Amino acid sequence: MNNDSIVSSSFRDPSGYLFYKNDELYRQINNSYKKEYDLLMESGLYQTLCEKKLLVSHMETSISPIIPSKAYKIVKPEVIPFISYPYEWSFSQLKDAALTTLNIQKIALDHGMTLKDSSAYNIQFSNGKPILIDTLSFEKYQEGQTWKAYRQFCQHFFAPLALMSHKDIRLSQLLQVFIDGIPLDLASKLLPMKTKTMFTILSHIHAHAKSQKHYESKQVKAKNVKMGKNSFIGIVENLFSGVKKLKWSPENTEWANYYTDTNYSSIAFNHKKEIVSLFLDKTNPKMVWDLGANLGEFSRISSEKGIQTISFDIDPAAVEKNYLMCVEKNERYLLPLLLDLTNPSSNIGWSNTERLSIQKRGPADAVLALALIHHLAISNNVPLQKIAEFFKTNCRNLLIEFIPKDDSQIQRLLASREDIFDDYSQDKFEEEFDKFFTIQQVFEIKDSKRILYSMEKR
Amino acid sequence: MDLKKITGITFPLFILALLFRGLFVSDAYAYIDPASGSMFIQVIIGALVGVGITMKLYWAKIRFKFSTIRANRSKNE
Repeated sequence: MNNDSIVSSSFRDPSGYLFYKNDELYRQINNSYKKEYDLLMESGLYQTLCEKKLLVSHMETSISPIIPSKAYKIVKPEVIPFISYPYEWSFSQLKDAALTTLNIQKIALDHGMTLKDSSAYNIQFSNGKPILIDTLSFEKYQEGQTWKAYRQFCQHFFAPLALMSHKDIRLSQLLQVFIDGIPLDLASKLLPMKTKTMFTILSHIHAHAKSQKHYESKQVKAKNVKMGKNSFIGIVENLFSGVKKLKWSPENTEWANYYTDTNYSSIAFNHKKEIVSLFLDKTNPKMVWDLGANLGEFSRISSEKGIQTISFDIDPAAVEKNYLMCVEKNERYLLPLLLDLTNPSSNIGWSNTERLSIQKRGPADAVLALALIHHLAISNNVPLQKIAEFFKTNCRNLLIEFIPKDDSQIQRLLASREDIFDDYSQDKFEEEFDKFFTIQQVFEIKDSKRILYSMEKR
Repeated sequence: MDLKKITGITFPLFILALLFRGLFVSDAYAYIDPASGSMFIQVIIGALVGVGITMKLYWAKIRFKFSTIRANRSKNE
């Protein structure tokens, strides 16, 4: 966090800026947005959306602006505990974010306003639910206008969801390559033939892409293109039902039976849970990252203590199941996210500062790395030294499980390959981690050969 | 292809899409300004789905009128 600096992702919209002052986040609203901001507040839209927990609330402050010549007002928005990005979301997270955006659009129209953009990055998860974080996304609805955010909605939400649902769940990762959403001509080419018989996909993706191509070199004056209010409502309603219809069921995942398919007895499993709980009570963290969380069994020990917990996993099906569990149980402190630790989210976007890497969004107060290290060291050939360095940059306290080589899970990983891991030993593990961490406690998990280390960064 | 799905509102759009010189999208590697195309397709789709919204509104008005008449009649009885 920087003092008195504009947030690196806040530059596209001239209506205002997000900035930090004394490590607190503020939003400057520019004079150019005065009319819209006043309408948002006076029409009752702001109050309605905040009551429904669809828009971040804010307080007007008298703090000095970051760019005084442009400033109308300075507000202090509600803080989002952890910023996540659409390429880190599961199918249902992106779907819920899309439906939230359309819901907001519907409510805005009832108040004579409309969304002028519909970037998926404007949605974040707070208290377990998607919420719009951009107060400056609204403008007055003008009779006859088209929906300015339509193209962006199709690129940021509808196309990725359709691809994930009808082609392959992993195509959500295209959002990491295309910062303004998946180009519709590409989505159209990737989608299977059967989607051309589905009205919403045919119209909002295939025909939409064709129309973009057809008009690419033609100059058209926006004010000459008119659309009635019922058509406007129809587009939003149609997209809403189209998004709702999109489904994806997590099939048998890589780790689906992991908890029943380990060498853990119930005694060992319960002991491990006790140790996690003890570690959290001792370190008292505000933010916990559970790396390789699977369905979030251990993450929930943390979130149920009221600690903000991010449950990372590489498997889209595990993240999906974890999120659906959060929704079902109305869990406020747990956020499941997709993350490949061997290629974690990096700094991308303009000047490589617009969307931040995992490292930049850390460090976490505490990290849980349970039954993880053998996947990094054995499956991905990452030396213990590099694993220790990784944790050094990402956490202050660490609970890490060491799995000895004779463990059945490691034997399974080695079954189909040569054992080139002479350096993988408990002594070497302790030696490498000791360079960056003080080992606080060592727990031998009952009824198991595995060992848990509680560590604190030096 | 599921022929059952190419009915109702899907069919007119299918024809409209064909009017855009075929359903298949050709490569678009060059710089494009997709805003105009997005606006026009929105007007076309909006016209199609807007009919449904308008009918819904009229249907609600008709139902309201009939329920008022029925309520008045039962009141008079």
